Amino acid sequence: MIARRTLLAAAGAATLALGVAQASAAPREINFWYPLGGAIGDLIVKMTNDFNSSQSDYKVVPQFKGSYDETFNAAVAAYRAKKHPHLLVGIGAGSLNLMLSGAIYPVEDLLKDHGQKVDWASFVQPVLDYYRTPDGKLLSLPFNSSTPIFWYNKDAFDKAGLTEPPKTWDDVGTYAAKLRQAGFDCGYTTAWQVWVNIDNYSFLQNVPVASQDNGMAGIETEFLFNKTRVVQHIARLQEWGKDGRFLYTGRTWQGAHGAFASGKCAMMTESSAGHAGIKQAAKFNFAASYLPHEKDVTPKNSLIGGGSIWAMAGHPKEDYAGVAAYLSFLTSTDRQVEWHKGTGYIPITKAAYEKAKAEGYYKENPHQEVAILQLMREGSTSNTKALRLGNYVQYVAAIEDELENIWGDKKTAQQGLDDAVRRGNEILARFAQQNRKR
Amino acid sequence: MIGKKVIFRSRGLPLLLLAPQLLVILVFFFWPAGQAVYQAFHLADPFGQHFEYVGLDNFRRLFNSPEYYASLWATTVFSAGVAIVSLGSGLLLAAFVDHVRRGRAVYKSLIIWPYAVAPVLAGVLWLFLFHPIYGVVAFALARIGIGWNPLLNSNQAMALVVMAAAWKQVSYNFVFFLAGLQAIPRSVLEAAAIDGAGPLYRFRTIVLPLLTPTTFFLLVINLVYAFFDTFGIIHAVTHGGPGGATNILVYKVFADGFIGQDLGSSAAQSIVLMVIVVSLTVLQFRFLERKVHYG
Amino acid sequence: MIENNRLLSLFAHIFLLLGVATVGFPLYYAFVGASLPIQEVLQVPMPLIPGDRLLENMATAWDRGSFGRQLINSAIMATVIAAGKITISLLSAFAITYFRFPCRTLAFWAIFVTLMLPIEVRIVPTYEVAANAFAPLAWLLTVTGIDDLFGGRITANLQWSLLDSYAGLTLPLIASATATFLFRQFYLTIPDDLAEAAKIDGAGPMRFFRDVLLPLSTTNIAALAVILFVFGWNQYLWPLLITTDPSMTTVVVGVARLIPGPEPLPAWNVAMAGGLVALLPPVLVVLLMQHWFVKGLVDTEK
Repeated sequence: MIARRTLLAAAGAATLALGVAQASAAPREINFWYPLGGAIGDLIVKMTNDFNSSQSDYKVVPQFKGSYDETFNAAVAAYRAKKHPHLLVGIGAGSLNLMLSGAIYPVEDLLKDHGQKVDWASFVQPVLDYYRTPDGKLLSLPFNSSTPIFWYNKDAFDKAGLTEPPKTWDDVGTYAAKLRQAGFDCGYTTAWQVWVNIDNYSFLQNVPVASQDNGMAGIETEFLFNKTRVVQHIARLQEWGKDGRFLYTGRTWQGAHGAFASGKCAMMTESSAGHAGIKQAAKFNFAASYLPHEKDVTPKNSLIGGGSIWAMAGHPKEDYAGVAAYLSFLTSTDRQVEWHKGTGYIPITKAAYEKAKAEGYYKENPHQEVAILQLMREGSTSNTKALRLGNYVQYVAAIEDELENIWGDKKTAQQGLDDAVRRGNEILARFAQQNRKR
Repeated sequence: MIGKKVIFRSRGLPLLLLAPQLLVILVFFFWPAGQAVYQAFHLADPFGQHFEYVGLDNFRRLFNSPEYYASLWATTVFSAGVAIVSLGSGLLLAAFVDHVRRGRAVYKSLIIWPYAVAPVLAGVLWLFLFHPIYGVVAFALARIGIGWNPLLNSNQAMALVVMAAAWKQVSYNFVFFLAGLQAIPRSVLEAAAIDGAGPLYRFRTIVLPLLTPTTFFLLVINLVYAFFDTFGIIHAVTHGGPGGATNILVYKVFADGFIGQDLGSSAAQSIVLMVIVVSLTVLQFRFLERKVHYG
Repeated sequence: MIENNRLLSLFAHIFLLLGVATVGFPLYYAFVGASLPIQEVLQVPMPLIPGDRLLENMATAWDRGSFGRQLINSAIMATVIAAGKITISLLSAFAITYFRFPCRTLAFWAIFVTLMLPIEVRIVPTYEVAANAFAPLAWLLTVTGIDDLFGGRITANLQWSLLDSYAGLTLPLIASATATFLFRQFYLTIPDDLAEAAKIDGAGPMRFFRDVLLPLSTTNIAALAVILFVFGWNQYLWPLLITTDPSMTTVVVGVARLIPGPEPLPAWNVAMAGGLVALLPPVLVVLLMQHWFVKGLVDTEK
């Protein structure tokens, strides 16, 4: 009898032990959705696999979910059906929608709640600021950040007798005319026209894009770029468009890359992360420099682009410990250096920057340092801290529309920008209405 | 609605036959579509936190917006263009394939296979051909002195998306037209030939009338295609630009709703779009189907 | 005998050659792109002569996209959509054409309207239904108060998630009417004498359906099977949303993963090679089935 009872107890203990063993054998799954395909997606998978094999409690499942829009939509749809991922990469310019969604778990809280000690002071501050609340709490983790810089064709410059990259926009005009004379089809082109020629232009010249400190101080905002120096800048580009000093090559990056890498346009503004593509395609020497500015200003820091990682709310508490561990893993210096070098995105910690520098990375890739130094310029103001407006995707489409009307000479710069602001303000007002009662 | 003269009498059976289809569309079409309609009268944030009844406000906004009227016009031009180009070239190709004796099978295969291309890929391919900066066709045009810039020229942009959309549809039309042509009894054409009717005359007076059922069917299919299934191509090729010139209604629904997450406005636009197409289709059924010959 | 007009034939051949070239060129160009090394695919304009990297690029695409499993998923998805849609459409078109019953016109329009709102436009609410396909039923029970009779226990247990399943990949796409519309058109061309004769022979409707309509429809079914297979295979947005498990995704989504996004190295050659891999099965289906495909439509008018 006793023997039997002992046996049962032993069996029970064994089952219990087995149960525990099983629990630890089946790690908790953490879903991570992102919009980065190609080689960058491969690197995310690789880094995630490294994390998964470094411990056995959690398994992060990396999942490519299409473009930024598609990924965001997948997350929204999933959230409404309570099937959303733990982590999501969202486009930086669209941060406000996620920030006010009620669907997120601020990463600073998340990391703190789960005992991950992160030294925020060691981060590149302008990158962090972009994702902070007005009172300084970090909401999402900067991930794939870049900033536009000025690329130029050195061989073409030689041919036109130019030795230095242009410093001011007036220089760009003069250079463009010289390049035209030297036989080049076009002087200057740009990728991401709104980001570069409205947002970043405003940042460098220290003028506001929108009211309420570019939306940092409140959601009842209006665009202001039809009342600033942006108007003269756009009018100037429109003028240059007439004689080939400027060429419009489309809304995204492919057109600008094509025009630059084929030698058609000798100057281009494009993301610092565009390097790998340009290098593969260009059969000439090229270099990068700081974005030009107006001759009467001391340029301020530029604006970042790209995306950040958001943690979504509503999962079991135990999962978040794994989320925190994973995020902490991604911010480690070695990971950041690997990411920085592998993708061309900016490192988010100073330590990673120092390490890459010590390794001589910027000797081979000076454009990367240009981007970082341009972002880290001292003396940031309320006009140059960040840009945080609602319904980004919609308003940017309206601005693109009107810029095209300007480049196509259907409207003057002032008319086009007025219309862009009118349409943009309707979109901002709608966002404010949606989010007012909170 | 046209039905059969000879019918079967049964009460339960037809409903039973319809049940699977009705069940599927009820759950996966009407339920979601109903929610979309409900949404059209609300202002909501996508995460479902804020939901506010706004009456007809979403519709009012549309009809007060100059961009919406521009989009209506672009849609008219676009769908007419797609229908004409894809039906026209489908018919021509079919007529010629039907005419030739040698190489028919090869021609057929070579015209049919592009039908299998996914729209996601088609958009990318068209950019590689027609992008003014890196497109090979644009390059060739520049060589011979033709200015091609759909990035800034609205008409060229429209022509480009019409071509791209029609390209996806030509094979489909071709197959149906060829089938229709081959169904025409040889004896009728031979009799006409003996009476001295030339090939063009025969085509106009015998072939075309006999193709009306096919044409009617294809017209409906093509218009529905142009109205609804083309936003992928627009999204890849022009993003609705330049300056909204190719921002057709369904792309606007897609861009405002799916990409821009303005569910209320997008739902209101879907309703307007459906009303337009349903009334167009009813008109077609009323006035065209009567004239259609069903063998 | 119809006259043999040489000039017209010559013109026909010239026109057809041009037509074939125009229609086929984008695909040829994709093939060229898929066969080049990256430096060349990025040249402006891209070369017109194929390179020698086709297999290499395809292998890279295969690895990166993990195409093996995805091809199987795509095949299942496309087949189920084709089979499912054809089955329910054959039946419903039969009901609409050969019977007169209350709400016949309403049923026809209810089915027809589904042509008018593609899934991409109603995608968020459709996703919600897919997350719980019993949601409409639950709503009905709640609204009618039936659920209250059971203390809310019914709705609480009505859960049927289609996410990451073949049902989810296919059912919402079966919910449209192209096939019904086509079968109706076809049935209308079938001589009434046949149904008359069947009736005189004392055959019931289902017997008529099985012994007369179905055999007459086989070629149409084949043609539609091709169309729907291609339709199902080429879906992008829906499989992208509904699947989160990498082993449930489809090859078109896998290819889209290869298309360069905003800022990486634009490996268009690999993307195009992947595109060719994804393209091959539906093209083969179209080409191999083309005999049936065209014949089916020819027989329509007999």
